[in-house]
Order: sequence, then structure tokens, then C-alpha cells
Amino acid sequence: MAPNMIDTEMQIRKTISETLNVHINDVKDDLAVGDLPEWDSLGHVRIIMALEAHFSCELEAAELLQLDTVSDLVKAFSC
Amino acid sequence: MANQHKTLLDAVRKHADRHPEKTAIVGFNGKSQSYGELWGSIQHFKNLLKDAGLSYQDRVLLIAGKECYFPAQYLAVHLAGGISVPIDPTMPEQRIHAISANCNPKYVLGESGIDRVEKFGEQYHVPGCSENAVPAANLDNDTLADLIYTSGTTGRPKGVLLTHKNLVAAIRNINCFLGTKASDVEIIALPLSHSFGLGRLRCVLWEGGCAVMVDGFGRPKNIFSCIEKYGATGIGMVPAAWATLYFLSREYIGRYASQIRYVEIGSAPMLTHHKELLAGLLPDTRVCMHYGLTEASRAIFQEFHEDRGSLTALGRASPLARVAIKDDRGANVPNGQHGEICVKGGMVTKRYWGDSVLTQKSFWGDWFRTGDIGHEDAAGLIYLFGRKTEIINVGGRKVSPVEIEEALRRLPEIMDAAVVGISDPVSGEAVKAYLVTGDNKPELRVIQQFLKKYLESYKIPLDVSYVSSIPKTASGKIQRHKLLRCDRDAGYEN
Repeated sequence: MAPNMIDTEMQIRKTISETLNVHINDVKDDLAVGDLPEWDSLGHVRIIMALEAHFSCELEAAELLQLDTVSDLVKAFSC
Repeated sequence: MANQHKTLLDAVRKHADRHPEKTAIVGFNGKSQSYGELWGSIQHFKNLLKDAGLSYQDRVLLIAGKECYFPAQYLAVHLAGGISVPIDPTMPEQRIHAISANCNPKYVLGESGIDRVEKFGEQYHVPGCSENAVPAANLDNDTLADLIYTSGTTGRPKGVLLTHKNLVAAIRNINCFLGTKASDVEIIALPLSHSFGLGRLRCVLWEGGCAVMVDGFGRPKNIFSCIEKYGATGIGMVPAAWATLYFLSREYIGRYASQIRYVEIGSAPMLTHHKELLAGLLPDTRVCMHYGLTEASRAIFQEFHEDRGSLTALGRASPLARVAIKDDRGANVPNGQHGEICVKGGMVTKRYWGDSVLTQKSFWGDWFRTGDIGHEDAAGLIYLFGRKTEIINVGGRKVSPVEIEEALRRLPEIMDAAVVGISDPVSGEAVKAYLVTGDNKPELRVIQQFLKKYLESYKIPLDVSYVSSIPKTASGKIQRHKLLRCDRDAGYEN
């Protein structure tokens, strides 16, 4: 993976960790909405808002509907 | 013809007799129960409870998850003559202990079955509907059915008692306005430990419809796939859930405009442009919003298309409720004048559990005092002005500042604390804390981590300000409005 991709992935994990207030080591690829009390529907919106603000982008409905896990978020915001 | 059953149990039993194969419940994991199976399951749990020695009006804590067995457990407690006390599966232990200490439940029913009775999980056999399965307890109109805990201003658990008569009156009132019928299939993504979600479940079962239980609104893909898979015709949402759904799927719900017959919204105020947006996406759907409390279910209703000229109002008194605006002595105020919104009707609770003082303070005769301030216009439209109480409404979930302040004060660095509700684009309101500390100011992240032990996640402050003192009255009551004002005037550091 290219270094800037690694940075992006780290940034996404860091944003999720800070938004949910969970340790970054807990932000594993398969962690999904509903797995933690903090990652409820409101937490999910806050994560996406924070990532959209950080990367200055807005995802389409079709993309948003696919976002369930950390891995999905990394994929969506790494493009 | 309107359903004339005396209790929800009567209705479910009749549906089981007439349409035993019809699907009643779909759990979040896809497992389903027909009405025949549901009734059998209700009897099974009832027998366990009775064998274990449950007495008339004993309380039973219910872990209100979205599994198939929850509705059966809930109704089995009723059938055994007990009082159901639904609690959220994510509730911290400390809060569960506080509720247990308050209502002294005899048993706990949940995923692993009945604590102190039997562990059986999913392995129980569900017999078919039987003529022998008659109610074990004699339920009359005043028999208590539910004890629902909600946040009181003191931060202590406030248990709202509802009789079978209250439940039936509420169901009739709601179904009359929404038009729910036997052919409906409803998505229930709301928590079942709260009045709104549990009310939706009751309304669907009353008519003989199908309740599809979904685990929250965090996965819109899941909501839409359930709408498609089960042919859903109804859904209940709090405004924050709609904001979430809209944020996470934009206008996607419009694809189901011809399928969804009704939507019920409630538990918190909704932005007018969100009302217009939803009505626009579902032009032929009955989009209804209620105003109500656990104590006075769905006192006021509004339908977004019919009332499109008055969407800033709460609506009008619902079909079976009466609403009056009263002054501080309990007298009605003239139209247009602000006063306390008061509600009367069969759905209104008679009392709180073990709190006669609060019960007394909450009524003017048989008019329940909501604690909300509003006015009524000449056309009978009721408008909300503000709240008398300091309860914070986080996405429809009521939060007591006192409970959070007590938890904050457990952190050694915090000398004093006050909590207020601040505007939040996602949840409507969010929690903000004002803290008095020494030189060692704990970071927000540290505070949030600490509070997880004591509070549900939605109660944890998202923002914090450090202040030199908390403004209080001479008697020591926190003046929360001053904190917000001082914050706006930059009198406090962030």
C-alpha cells in the first residue's frame, strides 16, 4: 500500500476512534454499526460527518448505504 | 369494525385462533413467529413464571431486545398477572440496579430465559395454540400491565404505571388516527423499552398485523431491505432517526412511496423543513406525528399532508384524548395565552410507582400536567413554547441532567458540575457539561471514558466547558439557563 494510502487509512481510523471515544486498537476492520453502544445510528452519522468534513467530500446515497464496517468506511474515503 | 378486545392479550389470542399461521413477529435476526406460535410461546413463558411462583402484580424485568421472543415474554408477564418492566439491553448495570431497587422485581426475563427460574435460551418448544391455554390471571381494567421507567428531574428512576385499560385506550387512539390494519407489516426499529417503540408493537399486534423488529436506524440498507423483503407498509421513527435515515440515504425512502401506507413520528420536536421533506417524499402516505409522554401516550396528533399549513404546531388533541392549557392554579387559560399543556383520557397514567408526592404534583384533578408550556389557537391547534422541566431530549430519549451531574461528580478532579442540553444537528439536543475543577482539568475524552461505567452512551456529554463556579439559587438549585447565557456571552472558557 502506498504511504499516503496508509496515512489516509490511519486518519480514518483515528477519526472513528475519536468520534466514538474508543481506543484506536479497537477500531478493527470488521467493527460495524451496532457492535458498540457508542456506534449507534447517531454515532454512525457523526463518523460520516466527521470524515466528510475532513476529506471535504460528500458521498452519494448509493455509497452511504453500503457503509457498515470500518473496512467499508476506509474503502469509501480512501478513493 | 373497530377491534373491541378488552386487553391486548385478548386480541392476540383471537388472532391466534383465527389465523394461527399468519406471521406476527419477525425478530432482528430473521426468525419469525406466527400468531399461533406467539400465543403458544406466551403460554410457555406464563407457565414458567407461574410455576416459579410469580404472584399477581409482581414485577418482572424484561430485557427488551429485538429478538423474536421479547413480545411473547412481555405478554406472558401480563397473562400471569404480573407487571412488565421493560429495560434497554444496553442499560448500564448501575441504572438496572437503581430500577430494581425501586420496583423490587421478582424475576428477570431475557435472552437466557428466566433468571432464577430456568435457563433455556432458544431451545424451548413452542406448542401450537390450544383451547386450554386460558389466561391464568383475572385481568380487569385496573390491573397494572406495565411499569415504564423514564427520566425524572431528580435523576432517580421515575416509574410510570400503566393499566391494561391505559394500554387499550392508547392503542385505540393511535390506530384510529393512523389507520393501522391487519394487513399491515410494520418496521419497528425503535427501542422497545420506551413508550413509543413498545406502543408501536402493541398497535400492530392489536390489529393482527406483522411487526418486523430491526436493530436501530444505523444501517439504512437493512431498513430498506426489510421494507422490500417483508413488504412493509408502516414504520415508526423519532425525528433524529429520520434525520439519520435522510443523512445516510438521502431521498432513497421515496422509492417506497407507493408501498408505505403510514409513518408515525414522535418523542421529540421535528424541524418543519424535515416534516415538509418527508411529506414530499411520501406524497400518498399518512405521515403522522404525535406529541405525548409515557404518562400520556399520543395526546396530540398531526398529519403532515392534511396539516401542511400548520406544521409549526404540534397538532390537535388526538381522537380519544382531551388537551387543555392551564395556568399555575389549574385553571384553563384563554386561547392564545401560554400555559401548561395538560392531558386527560383513558391513556393517561393514574400514578407513578412508589412516589405519591410526584403523583400528586403531576395532576390537576384527572388532568395530567406534562410540564410543557404551550398555547392553543382558536382553531384548536396546539403549539409548543418550551419546557418547564430541565429534561434534555437526545433524539427522543429523555435525559435527566441530575443523573449525569451525579456521575460527573464521581470523578475526583471534578469539584462541581452542571449539565444542560445544547442544540445538535443530528439528535436535536445533546448534552453539554460545565465543570468546576482545580488546576487539573480532565480532558473531554477522559471524562467520556469514565462516564461509560455509569451512563448510557447517549447521556455522555459531547462538549464541556470549565467554569469557576456553577450559578445556583440561595437554596442551592442550579440555574442552568444562566450557564447557557454566560456561554453565549463568552463569560466562560471552553
